[in-house]
Amino acid sequence: MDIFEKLETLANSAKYDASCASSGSERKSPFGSAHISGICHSWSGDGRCVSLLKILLTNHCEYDCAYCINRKSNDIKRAIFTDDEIARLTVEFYKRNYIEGLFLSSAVIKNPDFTMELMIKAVRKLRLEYHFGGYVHFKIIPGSDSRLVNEAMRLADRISVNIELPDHKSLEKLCPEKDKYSILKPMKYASDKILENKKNRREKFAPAGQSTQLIVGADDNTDSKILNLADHLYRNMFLKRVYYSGFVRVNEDSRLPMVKEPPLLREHRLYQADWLLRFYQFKVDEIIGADSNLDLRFDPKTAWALKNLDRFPVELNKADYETLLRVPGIGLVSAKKIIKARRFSNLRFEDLKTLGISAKKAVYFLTLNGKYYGLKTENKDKIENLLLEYKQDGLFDDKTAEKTYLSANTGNL
Amino acid sequence: MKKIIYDGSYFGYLNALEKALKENFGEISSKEEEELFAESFNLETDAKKAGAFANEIRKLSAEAFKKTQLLYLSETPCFENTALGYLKNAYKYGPAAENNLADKGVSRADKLCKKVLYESHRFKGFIRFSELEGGIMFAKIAPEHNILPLLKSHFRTRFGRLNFVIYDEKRNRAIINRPGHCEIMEISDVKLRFSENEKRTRELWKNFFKTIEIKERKKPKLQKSFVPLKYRRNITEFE
Repeated sequence: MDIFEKLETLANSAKYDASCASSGSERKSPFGSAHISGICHSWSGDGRCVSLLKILLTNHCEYDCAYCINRKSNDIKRAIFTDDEIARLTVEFYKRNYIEGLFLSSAVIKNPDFTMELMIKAVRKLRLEYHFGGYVHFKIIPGSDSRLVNEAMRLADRISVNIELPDHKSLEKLCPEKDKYSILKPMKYASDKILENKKNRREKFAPAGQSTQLIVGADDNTDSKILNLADHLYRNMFLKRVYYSGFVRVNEDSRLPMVKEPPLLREHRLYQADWLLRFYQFKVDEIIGADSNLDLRFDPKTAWALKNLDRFPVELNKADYETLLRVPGIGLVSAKKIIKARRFSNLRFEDLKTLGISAKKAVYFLTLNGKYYGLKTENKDKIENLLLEYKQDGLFDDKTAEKTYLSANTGNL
Repeated sequence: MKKIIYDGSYFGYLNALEKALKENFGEISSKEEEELFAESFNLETDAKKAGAFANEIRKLSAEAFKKTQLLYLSETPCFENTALGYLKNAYKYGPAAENNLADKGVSRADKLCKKVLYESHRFKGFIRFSELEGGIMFAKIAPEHNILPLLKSHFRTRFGRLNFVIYDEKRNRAIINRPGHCEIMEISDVKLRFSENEKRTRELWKNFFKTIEIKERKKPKLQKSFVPLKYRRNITEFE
């Protein structure tokens, strides 16, 4: 198989991993660097940022996970890269500024340790022989030995191991060869090592931290289950990111739900809720009750505000940063702008436009100098109807869909 | 309306700003215009004076100086007047002026500077190099603003050991880097011959790019807003 066919096969096999970031690391070297906020080099036809050469080392797999395109029982083209092929591709793409670096994952060939060793060999060649100083995201194989995780962490900027399914029941049903422990053990090991290294600061040891992925909609787990798990991972395992990947039905399998399309709107709402946890100082139980799903009709911040109308309106010129962040339509950047600008002068309604703040939603939750510019009656149902983004039957227009997608990506809520 | 006409250069721009601020001129332009009621003054460029004024602004506020430079790079019509409006604020309020975002003059300057910085950040991603015969890495760009000075440091850090050129085809200027030496120069008449390896690598990349799309999630409109059509000519995978 020539390199063209190999790359096509192994890129196709890797594309369902949603993680795309090239951020969190500030590396400088004679050949290559990493930019702290990451750089998007392109966007694919599905609207996702392209920043890394995302490939599997091989798609030969011992496992037969129900949802995975590379599962053992699928009759697909199988391929494997040599370490030199991976290193060369990365360097040639990097030189042309196509990418920030390499994202290397793999199916499980022979066993987890054997697979990890092949991956480590390739990345070592890239780092030590080709002197590559750009970004490397190394995918940890569940069940692999800690000393191999350790080696991977020395070579990479970011590592990740995918949880995929939020509870062991679903895992057992859809991936009988993997178990919860094989996934959590390397994650905990990495988390401890990163903490330890932060104190010593001796060398670059996965400086961009850890992330993980959860599949949304392949089982009957609620958003409550998913978000509580994400919250735990952020708080207790210090993960940098959790990715939520809408289930795409690539295999015919009775264990999988009969869905025609991936649950994109649900995925966007989860990302929006995730931003609320990480940046807007929301607690999980404020965003979602036990055993339930996020309201698809509104973004989760607006949904929260509608349930807590007694907290509004707040005065724009007096509310503190944390309170401003609770106002639907005032995002992180806008809140900071307001704080800066009002040091100079009292802000009037007209100033919102100059500041570049959209008052469409915010107007129902604010006063400016005591004056309220929203509805005459603060009738909850009426406000709900005005803020409604999506009708019950799930139909929505392109423009709203695009806005929601952007909000899920940028964290503007 | 008292107007200053300068020669369009960076030093001339600084001279014009200084004169306008200190002698209360209302407008600055690099174009001669026939205006019956305008009182215009043709300013000669003085590099030394420009340097001194630059230091003065820097002492006043680092942010104000940064904005003054960015506005020059914007090359947007009337950027000089936007800069003048901003500096008037800076002289009045000092470093705090950048926070006065409800003020229309400050807001306009702030927005324009952000636009220039945003384009330069995007281009760190969009620039595509091609390998020429002889091994030089060559990139062509057509940005709206004059962002070469903002790209120099990033690419020098990343690819300092390589021979590369980033050519702004709208302005006939380029960043030219050899190991240990990097500068921006006027160039024209560019003849390109790709290396053997180049064609193969392009095909690998184009196919990779096409392959990674998840068809069930296709969103062409979104892709259009992330990668504007005006830039696609010089982006390999969109050629």
